[in-house]
Amino acid sequence: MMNQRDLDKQILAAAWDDSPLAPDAERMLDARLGADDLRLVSHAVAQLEQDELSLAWRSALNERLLELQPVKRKSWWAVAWRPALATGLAASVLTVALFRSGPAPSSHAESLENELIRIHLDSAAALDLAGTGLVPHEVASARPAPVEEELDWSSVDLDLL
Amino acid sequence: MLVMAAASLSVTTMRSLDRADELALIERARRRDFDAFGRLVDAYQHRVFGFAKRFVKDREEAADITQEVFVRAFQNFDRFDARAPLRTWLFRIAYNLCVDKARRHERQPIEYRIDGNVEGEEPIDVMDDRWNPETMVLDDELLQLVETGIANMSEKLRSVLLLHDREDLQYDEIAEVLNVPIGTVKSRLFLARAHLKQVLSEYLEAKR
Repeated sequence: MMNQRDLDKQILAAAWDDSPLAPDAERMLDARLGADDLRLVSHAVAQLEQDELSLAWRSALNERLLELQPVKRKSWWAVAWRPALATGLAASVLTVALFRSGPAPSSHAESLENELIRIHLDSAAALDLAGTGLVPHEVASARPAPVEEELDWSSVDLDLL
Repeated sequence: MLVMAAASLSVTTMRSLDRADELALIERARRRDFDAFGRLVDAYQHRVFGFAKRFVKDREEAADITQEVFVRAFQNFDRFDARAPLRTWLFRIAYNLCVDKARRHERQPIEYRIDGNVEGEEPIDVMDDRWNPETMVLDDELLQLVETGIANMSEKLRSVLLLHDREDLQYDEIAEVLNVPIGTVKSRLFLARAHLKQVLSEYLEAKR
């Protein structure tokens, strides 16, 4: 059995220099640690007040943790091919748009076409109903247009009348 | 009658997780599940803070260290071996940060070496009424004395005492946290308790 002095030496050497304890010394130390007086000291330490952290502390921690949330890192090829793909796609769409469609009909041309069709339909309807000559533009179109020569009469022509 | 710190105990119990719950949360936290990690923080933040505060003896500094502990844990969760208790890992991070902080501040704690008879000249009689848990009242004054006694201890003794008697870590866990042999842990715990016992003895003797 180890005496008290040797035990003390071993305890001090183990505590400060990390020296190994002899099995005897460790057994005695275990018994000493389990003694009532030291257990009471242990009990007193366990009863110490628990410190609380504030909500502001927790909030600050959450902010820091959120900043650390993993962000998906783009690989170099993803960085390179995505803009290239986007540019190519845009160019393709533009090319197709240019070659497939001619100039878009203007609203003016469309309305003129509609107007001509409407006049034609009105005219056809009026002709069916009343016949040639009664419709003003029909009469106008039936009468021969004056020619320049008719206005250029000579005195001989007048005498013949 | 022994005055119990009922409030502090109930808080600890309420926040503690059983092993199965903890493992499930650890698994989720590994996948960077923010909520799961938050629950682990809830379970351990006050314990880590209490340890850091008694180690560095400064509340603000301890709060910063505690925050850093959880930030580092979050960053390195994939390296954590779930077969070991989470608390061991967290206290190890906390201990290393506390030591680093003390070194940066060039505030190396004074090592109060206990030489000669480690138990003192006069061994305490456990049959003495002063040491009877039924009659010993842990009032505010006595608790403050315990706090002062811990604060005046060397860093080596203090860390072992807090981890074992306050945070309820096993010898092997403490050995892992401090990276020392188990025999060293036991020896330091013995010296720390002997130191505190002496402080309490003197107080109780004076009150007699």
